[in-house]
Amino acid sequence: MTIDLIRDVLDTQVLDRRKQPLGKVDGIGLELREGAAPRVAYLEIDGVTAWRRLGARYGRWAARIASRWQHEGHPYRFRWSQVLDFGIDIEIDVDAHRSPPLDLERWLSDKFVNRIPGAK
Amino acid sequence: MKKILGIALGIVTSIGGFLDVGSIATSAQAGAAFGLSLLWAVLLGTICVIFLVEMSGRFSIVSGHTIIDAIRKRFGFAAFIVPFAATLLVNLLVLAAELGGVCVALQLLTGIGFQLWAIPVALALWMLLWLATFDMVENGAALLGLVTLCFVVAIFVLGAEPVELAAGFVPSLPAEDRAHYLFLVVSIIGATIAPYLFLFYSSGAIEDKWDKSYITANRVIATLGMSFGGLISMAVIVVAALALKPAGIRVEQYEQAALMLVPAYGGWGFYLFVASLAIACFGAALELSLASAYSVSQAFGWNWGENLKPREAARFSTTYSAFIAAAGLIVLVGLNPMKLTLFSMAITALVLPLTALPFLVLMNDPRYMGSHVNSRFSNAVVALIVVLTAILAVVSIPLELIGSK
Repeated sequence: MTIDLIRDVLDTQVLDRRKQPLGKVDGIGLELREGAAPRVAYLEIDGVTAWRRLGARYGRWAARIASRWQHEGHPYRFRWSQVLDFGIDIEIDVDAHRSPPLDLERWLSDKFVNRIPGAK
Repeated sequence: MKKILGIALGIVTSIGGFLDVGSIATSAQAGAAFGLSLLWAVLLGTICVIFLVEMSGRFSIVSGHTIIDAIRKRFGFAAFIVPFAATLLVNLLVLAAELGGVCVALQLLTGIGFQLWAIPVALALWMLLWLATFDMVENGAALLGLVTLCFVVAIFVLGAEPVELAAGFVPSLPAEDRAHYLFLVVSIIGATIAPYLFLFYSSGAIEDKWDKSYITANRVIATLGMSFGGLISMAVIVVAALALKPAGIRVEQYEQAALMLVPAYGGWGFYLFVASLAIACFGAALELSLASAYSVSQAFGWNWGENLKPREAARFSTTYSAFIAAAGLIVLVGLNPMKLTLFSMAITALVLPLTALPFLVLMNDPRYMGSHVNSRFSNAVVALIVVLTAILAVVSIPLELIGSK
């Protein structure tokens, strides 16, 4: 099976092994090899990567804003070998809970949402 | 049985959810200023929205995607984000107009200025979304929204001439005040084809896990629901034409529009109008806040869902909270709510191609739609109406701005 990376993979929804949303495929990294075809080194989930596709300046702005909530592990990358299912969405063999792509979710929970009554 | 119930509910929601501040304001002003002669604009908008809503349901059923999710994937983040941001900004303006509508209704009832209501109304809206499951809220708002049927009943009480009614469905240009007439055409179509309607509908189809057995049900809901909704908008024009135009009342403020049901119902007419305005605007504000938060979540791949608790979807609930706060601030500034409404409807018409045209591309892509791609006819109907209205908006918005000074 051949896959068109830009058409079928980039900007596709990524789910974890319990079908919880992790984010979108914001970037794709290729590895160039001597004497062989390039291969996919990793897929990236990171808002900053997406904004950088608009231009370097937008990438810098996004990075400055995201530094408020991003801890280590950014940009978040996974390998094709972690892909469990590839269809409308891409399911990968990780647990979204505690993973770096959910830093913003946890940051908003701590700073804002959980401090308001009725959030549970 | 479950499907029939679903169809009934779908129709009720669209009747209840169709009439919002935009339809009330544009139709009231159109009827008062130009009599029945703008009925055709509602008809045109309704035809287009029937096609768009049916398509959005069919799209989600067949492809398993929501529209926003698919537009980003098909066109890429860089091409997607600017039109998307523009659509969100217009959503914000419309949300401010809806909140303004509720505040004006409260002002009419109590005499306390609408700006003072901005914070309590925004807070009430936010609390409902924060605390209640949305099924409950939406169905409740839709059922209450049936009060707007009082406009249809009023036509029979007042007695409209069938021949004159029919003449209103033939497009025509008036002898004078043409610029304002065209501006109203644009605003009416913008009010009828609100993008949040079909973005919302497509999210609903995914949430309710519609499969291919729902293709026919989807067609019935879209056609009947949107037709009934359009019928109520038309009724507002007719009532305004019968009740306000002969008295020479031009609707520049909601205070003037509030009198339109008085000839039909007496003193109760005032309260019926206030109730219709408040309920319709509040219901639309609910849908709009959610549709905006859905769209943002789907654009960035966050978890979203109408029945998640805020804690389970912090980004989603923060998004609608921020939207409501910003819209409340716009109301607080104290622009004339009627003018704000008419302009946000015209701008809606202006930016409509930004979502509708990429969506049409998706509807013709067999990789998403398989054998369920659009027919040429439905492509032509939607593209023609959306593009012509946007062109008309480019011309008429500046003219209206110059004229209203």
